[in-house]
Amino acid sequence: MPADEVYLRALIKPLGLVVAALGIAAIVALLARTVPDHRALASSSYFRDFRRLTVDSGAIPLHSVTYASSGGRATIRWYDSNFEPTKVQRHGIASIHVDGARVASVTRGSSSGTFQDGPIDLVWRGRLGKGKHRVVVLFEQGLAVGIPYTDKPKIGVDNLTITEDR
Amino acid sequence: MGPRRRLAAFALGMFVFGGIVSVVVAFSVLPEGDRVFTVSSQTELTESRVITEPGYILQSLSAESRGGLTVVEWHDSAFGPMAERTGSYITLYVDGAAQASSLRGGFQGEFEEAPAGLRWAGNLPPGRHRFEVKLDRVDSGFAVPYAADGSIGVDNLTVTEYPAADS
Repeated sequence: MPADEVYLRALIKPLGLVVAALGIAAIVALLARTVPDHRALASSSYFRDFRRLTVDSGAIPLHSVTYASSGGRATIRWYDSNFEPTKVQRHGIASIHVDGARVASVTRGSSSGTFQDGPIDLVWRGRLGKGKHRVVVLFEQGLAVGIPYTDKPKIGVDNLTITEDR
Repeated sequence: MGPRRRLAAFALGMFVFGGIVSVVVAFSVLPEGDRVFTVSSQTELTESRVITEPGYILQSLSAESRGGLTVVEWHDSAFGPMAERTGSYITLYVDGAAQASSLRGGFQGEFEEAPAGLRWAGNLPPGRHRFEVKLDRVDSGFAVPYAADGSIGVDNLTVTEYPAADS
C-alpha cells in the first residue's frame, strides 16, 4: 500500500471526529442563536391631561394583562411618570397582583399635600410557573392623587413591563 | 515537505475551515430576532450640575433597531430642587418627537434630593433611532444630579430591545 494511502486511512477517524465536533458546535450555535434569552411584555398608557384618582374602598385597576410564562425568573415593573398627592399627611398605595395575590406594594407619602410629587417605580422579582398568569396593578389607597399629574402639552406615562430570563 | 507534514497541514486546514464555516453560519445566516440588545450612555459627576435654563440635553444616543418592543430608561441618582415650590419636567424624545415626560416637584427646595427616572416602553420600527432626554422645565433650577462630599452622581440612559412575548 502506498505511504500516502496509509496516512489518509489513518486520518479518516480524526477527520470524522472533527466533522462531528463541528456538527455539534453548529447545533449548539443554532440553539443559542434562536432560543430567546428574554421574553417581554409591556402595557403602556399615555396621558395628555392629568388623571386624578380617589380610593375610598376597594381598588382601581391601572393595568391588567395576561402573560404566558415559559417558567422561570421574572421581573414585573410598574412605572408612573408622576405620583402627586394633593392632601396633607396622607399616603398613596399601589400594588402589583399576580394571579389574584398581592406580591408588592409601593407607598408614597406627603406632608405638604402638593409639590412633593415625583415619578414612582415598583419592581417585583420572583419566579413564575409555566403557563398563563394574570398580572394586575391596583391603586389601593389615596385621596385625589394624580397618577400621573401632567400639564398640557406634556405626555404623562404609566407603564407595566414583564421581562423573563431564559 | 514530507507526506506526514502535508497531511497534518491538511487536517489543520480542514479544522480551521470548518470552524470558520460554523461561525459564519451561526452569526450571519441564522436568525437573531430573539436576542436582547442594550445600548447605554452615562455621565458621572463629583460636583452638582445645576441647570437653570430649560432645553438642557441630559443624555442622547443613536441605536439601530430590528423593530419591536423597546424600553427606554433614564435614571438620575440625586435629582434636587434648588428653590421651594418648584417643578421640573424631563422629556424623552425619540427621533425628535416627544414621547413621555416625567415631573418632579420640590416643596422646600433643599434636602429633597432623591433618585429620579423616566421609563418608556413601546414598539419601534426597524432602523436607526435617536434617543434624547431633555430638561423642559426647571423653574428656579435643579441639580441633576446633586453631588457633594465625595459622592459620585450618575445620570444614564439605557435602551433595551426585547423579543416580544407571544401572550
